[in-house]
Amino acid sequence: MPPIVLSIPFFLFLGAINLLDSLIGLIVVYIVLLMPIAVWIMVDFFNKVPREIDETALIDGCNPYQAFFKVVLPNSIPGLIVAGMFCIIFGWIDFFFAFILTFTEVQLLPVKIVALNSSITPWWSLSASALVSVAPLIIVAFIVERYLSKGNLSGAIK
Amino acid sequence: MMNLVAENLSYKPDEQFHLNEVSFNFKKGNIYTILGRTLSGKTTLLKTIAGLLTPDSGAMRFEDKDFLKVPVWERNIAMVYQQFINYPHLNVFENVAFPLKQRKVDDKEISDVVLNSLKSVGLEGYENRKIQELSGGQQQRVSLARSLVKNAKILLLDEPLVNLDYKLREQLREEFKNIFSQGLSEESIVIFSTTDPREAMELNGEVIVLDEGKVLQVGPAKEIFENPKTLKVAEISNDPPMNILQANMDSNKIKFEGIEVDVPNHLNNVKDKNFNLGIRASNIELSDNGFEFEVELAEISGSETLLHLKRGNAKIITSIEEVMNFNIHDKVKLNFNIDKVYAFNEEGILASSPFGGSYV
Repeated sequence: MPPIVLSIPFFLFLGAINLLDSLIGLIVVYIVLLMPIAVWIMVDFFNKVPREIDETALIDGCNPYQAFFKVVLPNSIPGLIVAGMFCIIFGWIDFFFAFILTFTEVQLLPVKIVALNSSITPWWSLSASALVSVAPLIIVAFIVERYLSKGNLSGAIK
Repeated sequence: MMNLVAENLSYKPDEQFHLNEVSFNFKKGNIYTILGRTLSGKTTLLKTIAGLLTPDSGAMRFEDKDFLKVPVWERNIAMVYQQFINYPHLNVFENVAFPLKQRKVDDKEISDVVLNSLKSVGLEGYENRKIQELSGGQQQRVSLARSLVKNAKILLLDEPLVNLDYKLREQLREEFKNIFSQGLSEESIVIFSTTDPREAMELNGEVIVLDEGKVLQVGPAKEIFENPKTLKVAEISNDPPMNILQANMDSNKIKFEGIEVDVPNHLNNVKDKNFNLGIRASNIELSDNGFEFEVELAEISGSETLLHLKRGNAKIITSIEEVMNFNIHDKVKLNFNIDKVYAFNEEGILASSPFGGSYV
């Protein structure tokens, strides 16, 4: 579904609850957009945790919630990182919703950079700011990469 | 009533019964072995006792409580799986300490108990290792240690040795026996499932023979071995399986496949004319003036040779206590130790055994 279809209901909805042009409004919108994808990624990782580990946790005295938080979740860290990265990247580079749902009070980086694009600003300062805007993502990717390869389930069942 | 008692447990998730009217009465301080082939319902039974499965019908009581209503995490049980199950995100020490932490035992005590238990399974000095760094046998020891620290009232072992290599299996089986004989409190019930009759005999507890979800026979290991109630039990409780031959009896001769032998004393009371003759592989030996059989397959295992033989319609397996080479279609001569044969009637029920048992 093209995002533009969602933009009108989101605009009306945020307008109705007075959250247009605010950070909280944007956060709500991004949660709605990204949650299904995060769930979809995590389900796959949870399914990879062997059922027997789950059962052993129950036998060892965990109730189902404790089994989830103490055993299943720590073994799904790579999944959490993948889902987290995905959400961060999509949230960070989104232009469309940030452009439509904010005006003056709040402006996200992509919108700001596009706004720089005028005959007065030279092209090199435009590309410099674009580079600076993706720098945090690159740094996060480097930090996270180590954890991605570290957390694996080998040795759970041999 | 302090025993673990089950009545008519049935579980039928699909077309086939996984448990079919299983009843038992397990007393504290004893070891019980569930013997059965793969898919006989052993794991289902253990999972039902653990509470991971709810049977379709039947009742189970333990310490005056309706055990089926107690959730898994309050049952105070321990279970060792066939696969080596450990928590991969924790190191060896933390793995073993996990159930104690869950019970909020204080740290000092946890550390003592865990180190002790690691020592008893021979993993001293491995506390800080990661699970992934251990070999299969060591991983299985970690899960055994984890199940022992809990001092659980019911200890379930689901074919714990099956995924280990031969040497380790022998070694760990010995250790099991030691741990059970010394470390076990009068308060706990050990339930051990296995496909290997030798394991069942060696643990020397009460044996429950299970097949297709049904309990076929319950009794001390020795009794199951000496007087198997039916042909099925004889098949399951012997490795290699007991040889079964169609035979008929005439006045004082037993005839099968053109072979005639005198009727041994213990078969005199068998009334049926036609019956199934059961002979253990270990009671058949090579002999120059024996009966001729044709070799179908010869396998050398360890220090033994297993021979699969044929004569007419009869197929038998025998083991020879030395390594010998045979070719397919070789002719060998065999003698039967006729004093050690079993007779099962046509319905497959034990009619006479060399140890005096009979269920007819």
